[in-house]
Amino acid sequence: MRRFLPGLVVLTLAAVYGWQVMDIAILPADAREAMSARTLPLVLTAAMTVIGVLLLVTAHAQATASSPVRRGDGRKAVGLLGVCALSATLLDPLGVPVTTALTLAAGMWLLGERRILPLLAIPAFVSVVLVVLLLLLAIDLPAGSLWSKHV
Amino acid sequence: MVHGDEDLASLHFLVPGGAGGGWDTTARATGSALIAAGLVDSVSFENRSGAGGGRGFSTMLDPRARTLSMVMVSSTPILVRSQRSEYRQNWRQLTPVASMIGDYGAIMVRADAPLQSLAQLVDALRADPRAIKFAGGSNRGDTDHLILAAVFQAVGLEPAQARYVPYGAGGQAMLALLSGETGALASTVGESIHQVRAGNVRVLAILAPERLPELPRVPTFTESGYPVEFLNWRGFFAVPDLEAVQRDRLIDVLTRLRSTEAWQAMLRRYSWVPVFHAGDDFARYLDSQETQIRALMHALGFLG
Amino acid sequence: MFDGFLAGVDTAFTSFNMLMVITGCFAGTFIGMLPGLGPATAVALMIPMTWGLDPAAAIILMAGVYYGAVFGGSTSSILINAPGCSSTVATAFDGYPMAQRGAAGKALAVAAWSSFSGGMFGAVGLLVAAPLLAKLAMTFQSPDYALLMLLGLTAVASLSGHGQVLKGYAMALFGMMLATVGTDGITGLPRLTFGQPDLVDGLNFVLIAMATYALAEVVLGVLEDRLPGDGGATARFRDLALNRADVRAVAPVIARQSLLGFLVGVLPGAGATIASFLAYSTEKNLAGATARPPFGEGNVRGVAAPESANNAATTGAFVPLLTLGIPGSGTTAILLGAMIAHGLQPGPRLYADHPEVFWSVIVSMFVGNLMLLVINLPMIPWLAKVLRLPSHVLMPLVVVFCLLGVYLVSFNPGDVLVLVVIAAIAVFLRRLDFPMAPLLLGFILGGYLEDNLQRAFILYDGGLGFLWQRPASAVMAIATLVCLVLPLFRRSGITATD
Repeated sequence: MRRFLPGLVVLTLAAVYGWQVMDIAILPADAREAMSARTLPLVLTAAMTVIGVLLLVTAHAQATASSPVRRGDGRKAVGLLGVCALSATLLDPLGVPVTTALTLAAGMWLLGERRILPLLAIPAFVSVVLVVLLLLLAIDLPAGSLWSKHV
Repeated sequence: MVHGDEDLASLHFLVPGGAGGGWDTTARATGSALIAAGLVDSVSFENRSGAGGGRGFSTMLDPRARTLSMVMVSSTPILVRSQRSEYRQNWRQLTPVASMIGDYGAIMVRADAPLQSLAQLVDALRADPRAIKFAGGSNRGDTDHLILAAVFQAVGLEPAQARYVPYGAGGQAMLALLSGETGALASTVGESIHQVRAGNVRVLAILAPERLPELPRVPTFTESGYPVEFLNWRGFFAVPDLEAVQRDRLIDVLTRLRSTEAWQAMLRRYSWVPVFHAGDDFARYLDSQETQIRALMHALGFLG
Repeated sequence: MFDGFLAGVDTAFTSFNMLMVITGCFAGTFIGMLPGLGPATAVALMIPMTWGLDPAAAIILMAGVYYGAVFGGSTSSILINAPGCSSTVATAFDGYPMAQRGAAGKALAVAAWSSFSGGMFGAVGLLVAAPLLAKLAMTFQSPDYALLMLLGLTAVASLSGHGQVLKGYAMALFGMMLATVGTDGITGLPRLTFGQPDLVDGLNFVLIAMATYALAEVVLGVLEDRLPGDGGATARFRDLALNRADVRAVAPVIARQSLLGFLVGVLPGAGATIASFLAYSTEKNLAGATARPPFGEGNVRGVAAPESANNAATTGAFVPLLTLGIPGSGTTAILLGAMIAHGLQPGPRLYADHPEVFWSVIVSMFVGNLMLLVINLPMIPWLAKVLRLPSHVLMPLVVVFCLLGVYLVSFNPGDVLVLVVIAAIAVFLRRLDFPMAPLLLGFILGGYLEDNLQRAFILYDGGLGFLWQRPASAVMAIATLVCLVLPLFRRSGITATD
């Protein structure tokens, strides 16, 4: 099964993309031109489909070339992506300095740091350095909406 | 209704595009002139690029993000955008404050082009509307394309027949003209002024109500018998439902800015043409320009 | 002309202008190293600081910041696989594997010497041939650009590893698909955005590179339990001295790719990023399968090629800017705006009206590139110390670098979410042995291809007339076919003898 996976993934990409392409608007203004907003996307979908089929057909030859799969900690990897997604949602309410420190601390904890001092000191240090640098460059950071006065 | 009784000690400029762009330059020039003239104590700037200006717009609409002292810089494309239902953002949701500067549409050719005058261009287009290709620095259906469409309409041709070649930016459209890739260029005077001064480009006519001091020998379309104008203004909008008192304060500060030496210096530095409409006058102006833009977009087939 | 040049030398070598070159280079390198702050931001940040200066000093300062930022961007590419700006993405292909092998110091030194040589080569080109090259830039038109992009896409095969060519093409197509997301130039409407306003402006190249390389690398490291950085790779001063074999390997690469990069940079519709990719893939093709270590696994030539090309291209971009007044990129557009605001009119008149400005900017580039080398070489051992951090600190730092690198471009948290989603997809694809470099290539070239092809069709009334009416287009069309067909024959030749 695994040897057919690359081909199937490529065909899935082609199908999802091609399905979205059908939603691209064609305006009356496009009728007069050789290329519409759909032209290139349709060509890409077709080419991707051809490659997917070729990958399936040659699956037995491709399989020999692929490297052995190493096993690791899947939960940690998903956790790390989760931390990133979470920090994206925290950027608006908390602002850059706090979010940076929290993300860094969470990442370090996830990768095995359990000592309190480094977990506090390193993120705080990095966050302060960042703020100083951006202030020096006169880049206005939007303050987190939690700490600023609004209408 | 948004209330406010703090006076105009500070002004926060929201720029819906990146640093260094046209909106950014306008906001920062206005802000620093306000400080230099002593009309406002402090100004701050915030760049919110994204979604083709839509992110800045949604910040203005978001009750949690907006403040009374916030103004968003904008320009004619906000009207183009408002016509497209896909965006669900209309300038009428905001409070128009004032336009500060403006840039008139123009049709240009290379200095050594065989077309010497507007009359020759019109004759050539009437003989074959598809004979001349026009470069422009905006997407199809956006400002430079609309300038070309307005010209076609004014000389009695079908706007949809115009051959408009879109380039990613004004500079690339200018290169297309200079290199002979296209025969003509539809753009604005300000975008092209340094090439005009350098003598590389000839402006055939401008879409302005009267001749510009910078180009005294270039005729307007109107005086040549084709009444048409197209202005790309740049100006400011405040948050929705702003109380009249606060709006009048903003208008008052910008009105007083106009006669200061600081602002005049900015106009000279960037070769800007002042075009001032404020408050209800600005809103009426936007209304009439919106009617013009809608009609042109319909004629081009960009509104279903 | 010679009088103007001498006036330029005079202007450039005043002590104040020398100070401006040094300040510009220093600030540029530094800003270029920071996440998310590329050359465009660096130059824009400098504009308010130049108001009190005379025009020549201002332009010298901003030019220094510009090529300084391109210079500095390579550091993070090499050390943590996270490019500082789009033109240094290709530097990571071999620079990062070198760093992982413990040769971070050498990789940074090769990058510094290549950037220096590329910049110097570009400055010489600018000095002797600017007006001539401007004519070259004028002859290249939309159909030619379209075919140049097609030709560039044939590099996919060389960017894919052994047995990966089909997967490489799949990824190039995927990259082009990602490039079609956002507002298209044909209708001016958003397409393929899944209704997300954050996608209306399209995806950003640095975001894609951060997602597929840096962030995906960290997540893969955790997933496969092989955290990079544990090697304690470090650099001592002696690593900076390249040995004779290195010099012999790198020198011809720098010479070739500086020339290529400079010519691509002169074209207003291409730029430093395309130049670096073309340089990398041509060099990989020239080296063939016998290169040791293979390209992609830490070959010094794979660092030298993109680094000399991108700096030469950055200098090349000054040709259309100074001689025609035409900006070829976002950064040069900002520079143009600043020059006009300082009362200068770039174009033929600049040459005539302000020869001292024109020549002093060029002359200052020689000093600037020398300065960059002097500033950067001693910093390398200190920079490389980053890799001695334990991986449970370094890896979260890389993650934060990526998040900030994306956020500080647009201040849009939505972009950060897009980064995470693309990184997750990239991890999945990399587990299935799909190569990522073709994806980046497809992404850069895809957008240019569509825009230029659309223009070509309008200009030639919907036909393919440009293929035989334009010699440049015809040559590139034939070259594209050769590049596509030749490998097929070569492969069948091998199987026949096997």
